[in-house]
Amino acid sequence: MNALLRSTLCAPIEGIINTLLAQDPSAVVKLQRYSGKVVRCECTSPVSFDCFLVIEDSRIALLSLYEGEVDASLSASASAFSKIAMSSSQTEALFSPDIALSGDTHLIQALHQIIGQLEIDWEAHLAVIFGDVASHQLGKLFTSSQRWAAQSKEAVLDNIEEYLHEEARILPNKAELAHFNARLDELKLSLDRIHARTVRLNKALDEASL
Amino acid sequence: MPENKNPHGDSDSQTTHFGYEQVPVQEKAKRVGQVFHSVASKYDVMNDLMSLGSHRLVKRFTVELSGVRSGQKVLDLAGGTGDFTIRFSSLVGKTGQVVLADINASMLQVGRDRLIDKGITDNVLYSQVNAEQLPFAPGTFDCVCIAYGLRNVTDKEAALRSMYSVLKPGGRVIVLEFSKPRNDLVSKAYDGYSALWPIVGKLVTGDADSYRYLVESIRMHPDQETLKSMMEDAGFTDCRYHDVMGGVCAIHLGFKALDAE
Repeated sequence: MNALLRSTLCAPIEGIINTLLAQDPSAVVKLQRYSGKVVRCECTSPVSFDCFLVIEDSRIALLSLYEGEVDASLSASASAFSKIAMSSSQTEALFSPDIALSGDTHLIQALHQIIGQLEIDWEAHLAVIFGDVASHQLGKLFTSSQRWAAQSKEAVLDNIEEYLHEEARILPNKAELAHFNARLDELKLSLDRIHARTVRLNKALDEASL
Repeated sequence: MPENKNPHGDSDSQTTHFGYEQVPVQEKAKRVGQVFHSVASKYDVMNDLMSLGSHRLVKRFTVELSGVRSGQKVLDLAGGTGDFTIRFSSLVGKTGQVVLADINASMLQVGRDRLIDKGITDNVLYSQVNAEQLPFAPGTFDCVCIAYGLRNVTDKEAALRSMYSVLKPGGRVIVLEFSKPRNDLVSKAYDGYSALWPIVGKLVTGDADSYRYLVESIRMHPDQETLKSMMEDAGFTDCRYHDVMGGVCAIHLGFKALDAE
């Protein structure tokens, strides 16, 4: 990929990262501990290119070229990078077989944690535009909508589970599945025992006929 | 008045170009100074208007090519309103240093105010200098960057030699400048577009002449290969350039050899 094009693509991503970082002063303080560190990110598919995260004092520079030594490298496909960005679980996101880490992996984990744990006070930012009262009402509305959405999601999942297990009886519930698995293990052990006894019996019959 | 012997103008001749006009050598710096004094306060706005914002991406790419890293010393020559110094300052960090230098006091003042307003004070120094005679000890800087400044210098060869001198062995110079488009169609389109700049300049800054000079000075600036050979003549090694937007701009890179004195 053309170097100027890569640099151009890095510019808006760098802008978004730093705009978000600037909203959370505690993240900036955590980031400062790693000032001067460099992480190379390599995208392997669908287009192959690499870029460099350079941690500066209170921001992250995303460069398409870097000639110094890097502290850590992260290589993954574009879809794996999007999973890393969306996931809050480090084990799930960074230690997947689709991702290759090298160098100071602690640095990559720390960066992922800092970005994943960003706490942005949207209400304070809205207050600048709409004023304190309106932004507080908007904040309350957003929080209650978020709570309602979470409760609704939980309720829908419970209802679907109950319907499939208890009413339609299409799927077994967890206890039935565990019981079935235990019976299956017992059956397998019994079969193994029968097989062993049959082998022993055949061997005895062969010896008797001789 | 004697004619200039060198099409690019040099100090041996008695006249040099100021846009399409021939002026006495000693007068060019003063005339260029007047241009930038006139446009300093609206310089960034005009840059955005004339380049449609693309100058930001070109500058970003130039900084990446500079290879500047934490702890290094950088000279931002003809740094004007400080676009490059802002980027270099964060890249070199607290252990590095950036010197924002310009021959023009008005531009330097705008740059210094802007950096102070942004809270960038830790690692930046300011210096009003003539690029032809840089007042720094030899081997001071890891990188010297001159962006959209070289074409305004009266004696470009002397400026390149001076930049070479203040570089550390292994250091690099990076020159971002308007250049010659490779494609005739691009060249014609660019000529037509740049003819509008004096009109925009008149509307925004009330000064068409300064932007007429800008357009003319771009036409008079050496092309990519000529500037590369000028850099080689000044002592730089491994010189190369990147065309940007089909050659409308070019970023030249040159290095001071590790075994250079």
